[in-house]
Amino acid sequence: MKTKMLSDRGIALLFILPTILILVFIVVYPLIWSLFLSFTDYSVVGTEKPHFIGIKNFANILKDEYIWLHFQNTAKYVIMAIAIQFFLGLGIALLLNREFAGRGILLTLVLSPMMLSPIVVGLFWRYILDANWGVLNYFTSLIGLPKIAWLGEKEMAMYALVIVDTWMWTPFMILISLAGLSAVPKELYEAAEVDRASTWFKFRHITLPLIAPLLLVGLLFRTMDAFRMFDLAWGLTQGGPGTATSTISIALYRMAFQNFETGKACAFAYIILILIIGMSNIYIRFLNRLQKRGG
Amino acid sequence: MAQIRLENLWKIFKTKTEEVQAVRGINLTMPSGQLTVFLGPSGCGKTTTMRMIAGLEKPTSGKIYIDNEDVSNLKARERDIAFVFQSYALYPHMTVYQNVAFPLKAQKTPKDEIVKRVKWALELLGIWQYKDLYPSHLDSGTQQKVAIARAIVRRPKAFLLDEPLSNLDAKVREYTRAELRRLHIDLKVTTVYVTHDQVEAMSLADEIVIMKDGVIQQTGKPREVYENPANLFVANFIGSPGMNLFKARKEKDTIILGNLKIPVSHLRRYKEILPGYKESELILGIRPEYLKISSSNANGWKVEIEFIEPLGDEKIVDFSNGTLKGRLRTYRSTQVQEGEEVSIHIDIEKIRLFDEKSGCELLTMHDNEEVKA
Repeated sequence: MKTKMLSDRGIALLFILPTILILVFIVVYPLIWSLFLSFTDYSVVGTEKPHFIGIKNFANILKDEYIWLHFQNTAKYVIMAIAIQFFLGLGIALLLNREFAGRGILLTLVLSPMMLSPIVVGLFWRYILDANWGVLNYFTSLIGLPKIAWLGEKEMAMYALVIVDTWMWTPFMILISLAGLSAVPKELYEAAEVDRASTWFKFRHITLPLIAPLLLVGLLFRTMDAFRMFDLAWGLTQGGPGTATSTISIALYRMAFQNFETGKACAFAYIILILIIGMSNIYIRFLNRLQKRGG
Repeated sequence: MAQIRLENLWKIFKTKTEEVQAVRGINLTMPSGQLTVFLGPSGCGKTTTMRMIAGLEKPTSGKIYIDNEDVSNLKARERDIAFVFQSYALYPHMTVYQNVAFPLKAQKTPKDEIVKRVKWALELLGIWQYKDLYPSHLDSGTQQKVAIARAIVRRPKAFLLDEPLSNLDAKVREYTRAELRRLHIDLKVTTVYVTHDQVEAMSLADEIVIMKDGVIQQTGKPREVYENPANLFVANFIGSPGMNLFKARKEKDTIILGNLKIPVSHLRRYKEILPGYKESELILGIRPEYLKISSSNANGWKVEIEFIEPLGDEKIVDFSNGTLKGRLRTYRSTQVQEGEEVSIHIDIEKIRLFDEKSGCELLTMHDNEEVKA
């Protein structure tokens, strides 16, 4: 029997073609389609076909003070949460970066919040932080502190969101920091020790520069993640009270799936995407600069 | 410049399952300005000893003195000692210049002083032109020099070097060895040097300390430990190839080596003590270069050539006499063939005798016993 042999190229193509097709279908096509929709007045529940309206959606969003409020909320939340998580994570990692009995178990416990689903975390912290019967207020009242309406007051709700996010995501920064710390050769510390360097000098001139690239990757991940965070806040406050904890993701959700302004929502999503790419680039540039040294 | 003194130094490493006695009761004085080499096979405790001197390892018991000051409980950074690591331990994120400047910066040395000293160290080692490169861009020989520059820049009380040449190619090693010797002569700083390479030890040391299983086997000038090893271990370990060690017998006033009889009266070194030596079995040691092939000598030791190993300018010849097997060193031009029967002349003066049971050289053993008694 005579069979037609496939070339190597043919076989390779056969293997990757299904993946490419699926990717095009679920990623590339929606991306292009939503880009198109962002220039229209389309609504997914309407009966009308999309009309091209130019950059009106983009202009409206950027002019809209209500949406700017959400950007401010997000910035507040991202800056506070990431800063706290960074320092807390690095600090705890420094404490954990040594041999002691029970280290394995402790590490597993410390890392466990990260493994939960954010919506669940948001929901059960809602109960923990409840003004009247939440356990947090119960415990603080035991030592004579007044009850705090964590989720009821505008200012407090933002702090609550930062606290919960920190509880959930500090473990990630711990993990990244630990990975960095354990990769620093022990001998460098010994060399520095005989070179008469103080503990702070060693940390400042050896530990920090050597783990900086990894910390930066951790920060990049956390920033991107925090910027588009939706589920945790949705579970905790649904953006309330008022718009106190409404992040851009929540605003986008409302625009797309409660008001069904599909075209405008697409434009909004693209603005967020460009922002995240822009920020990532700053980090990546910094990272590249770090890695050019020695390596 | 400082004198280093070790007093009954012990180091025991404990793990969950076992206990390792790495260093077992070392007593040693390293005079100021001297280069002392710790020599021994891997796992003999030489590096551990040095790490204790540096303060990177805490002694289980015993004391370390630097210039008569007890530093046993001081941290490494309080001892003012420089350490060159086997892996160099250069800071990968710093340039050569920054690496060498590190110890000065850590001590908050004034900036212009740092510039001056770093320049001095880098120029002394001939690596000034690499000052702006990172360690990963340098070959291992240059990295080594950076590590040494970093050690000398501070002008510490003593240098400790842990197998500094072991990661270099043979050629670079030879060159760097000479460089190190020159540097020591220039700077005259007390230096402790750890190696498992006896050639390195012989060529560098003012004094060699030979260690095995955490115990000092012998301390002495290179020539001294070479000519007069204190025991079988040193005899075999020093020299390449090591000393020939033959089983021999003492009968009345002769030593019997295979079919060769050596009158005790000819062994001037042992004339005094051999008559009083009670054992009949002993080990006769002789260095390969003190055996000469002399086909004309009828009184020589008859042996059969088994194998010839040409080494450029010389040959190592393996020979046998009955069950005795040995090696000798001869000129490249010596005409011998494998399988040939030849006669060997032994330089009687150079014979060393060892006690079979303890492995100790007879004279050393005798002296020690006299000291004890």
